[in-house]
Amino acid sequence: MASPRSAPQLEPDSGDLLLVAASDGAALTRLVTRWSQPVYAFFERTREPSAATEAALSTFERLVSSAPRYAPDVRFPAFLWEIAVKVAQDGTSSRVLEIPSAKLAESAAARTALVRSAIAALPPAERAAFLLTRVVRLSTSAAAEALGTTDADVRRRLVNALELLRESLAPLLEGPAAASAPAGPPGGREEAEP
Amino acid sequence: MTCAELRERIVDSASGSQGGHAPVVAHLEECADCRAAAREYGALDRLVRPATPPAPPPDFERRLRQRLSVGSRHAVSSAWMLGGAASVLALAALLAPRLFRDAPKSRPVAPPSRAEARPSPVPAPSPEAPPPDIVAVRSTPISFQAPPLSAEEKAEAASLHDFEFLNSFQMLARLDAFFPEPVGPRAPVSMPAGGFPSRPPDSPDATTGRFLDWQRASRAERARLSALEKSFRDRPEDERSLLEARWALVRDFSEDQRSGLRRLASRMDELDSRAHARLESEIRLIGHLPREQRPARWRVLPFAKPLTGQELASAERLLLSR
Repeated sequence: MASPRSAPQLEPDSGDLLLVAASDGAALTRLVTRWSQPVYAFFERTREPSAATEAALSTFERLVSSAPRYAPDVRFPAFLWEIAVKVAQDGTSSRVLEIPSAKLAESAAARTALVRSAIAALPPAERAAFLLTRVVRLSTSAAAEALGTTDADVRRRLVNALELLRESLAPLLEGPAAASAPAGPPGGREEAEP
Repeated sequence: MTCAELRERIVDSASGSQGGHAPVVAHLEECADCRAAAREYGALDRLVRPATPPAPPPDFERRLRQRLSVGSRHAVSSAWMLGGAASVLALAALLAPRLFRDAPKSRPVAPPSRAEARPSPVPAPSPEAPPPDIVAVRSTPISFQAPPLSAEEKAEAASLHDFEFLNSFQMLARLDAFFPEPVGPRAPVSMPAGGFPSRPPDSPDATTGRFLDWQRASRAERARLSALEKSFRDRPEDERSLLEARWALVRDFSEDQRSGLRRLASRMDELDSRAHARLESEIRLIGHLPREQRPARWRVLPFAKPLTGQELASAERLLLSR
């Protein structure tokens, strides 16, 4: 029997992606089962659900078409998120919505729309770092790997993103709508692994 | 420590702990700007996180396979697929000892477990089947036997709103009390940047998907959906916008939850007008309570007592989405 130390085990996702490249339908089902939710969540914070679904579908479509070029020494999450970031960058840039404060106070949908538009309006590099660390909950190192950059650069982008969002989401941070915002612990460093 | 260094440390707890917290605390004690930034970074984290984890639509995999099969019908893609598969088979051969080490010899890759399995046009390999690469090449093609659409049929298909929305907008109107504003004269709903999710297809991919759906739909189903579309378009514009905004809240509900909402609407329809009006008032009052109090208050309503668990849960999700 081979020792686990003699040859590292191929991760299930990596093995499945190789099988997908060979058109294995069951392997595709497994990858979709494990990863469709985090990929969808990545896009859902910047666009409406139907557009988020379209972007998530495009990501998986590109994942399948890129599978033949996949080298298993690259971690699967980094490979996948690199594709998702590219799909996100293909979207047209947008501006932050202007929504009256009364509407923000009474409507969760209006608050969600403002948050989405503010994140979507971030510069692409900042937006990618923000979504990967704050929405997908990757560690800074994992986000840096997916973005092909350093941890320090991810932190710098993240600070820029947060400073821009402080400005664009000020109505939600200061107004009565802030009390109605979705709750949850700040920060958090656990890596998103389905 | 500068303000920039401080902020780069507090956005990443891993780096924040390096070098100890003392310099961070010392800086925060002295710098009001950074204290405000730290507070608001935490608030932003809470703000951007949805109340419930967003989930892709239940037919996500079906739609993905549809797109992949459409793509693979193009000659270039097919040629690429063959080349790609060949290259991966070569790669897989190199990696086979690692990839299949722990798997039974007769089944190099296990099919999805019952819990993982979803309806799929691709059958799972049987124990006697050839190795997975061969299985997959055989199982991937999807045939489209329906005749191609005429230009008129395509125009009709492309003009329709989201089919699930068409099947649901009447129910959304009947559940008025569960939503913040009633259907009727009111301030206009602000259109989201990309339009409402229920809008007719407006991208090449979405239009292609719509044509495939329309191709498979029976004549009776096409007539039914067209009639629903007409009924929707006959409503006043502000009412249409309101219903589309409501759909944006409900479209991520599971099929079970949407069924629960339909049954809930039917049960409400069965009430006489006085009981119906009283129930609507009670539901509106619940909608103004703090979120954490709404489920309990909903469940103690006399109307809610005989409801099924699915109906109760669907209504609760709706009340919490406000």
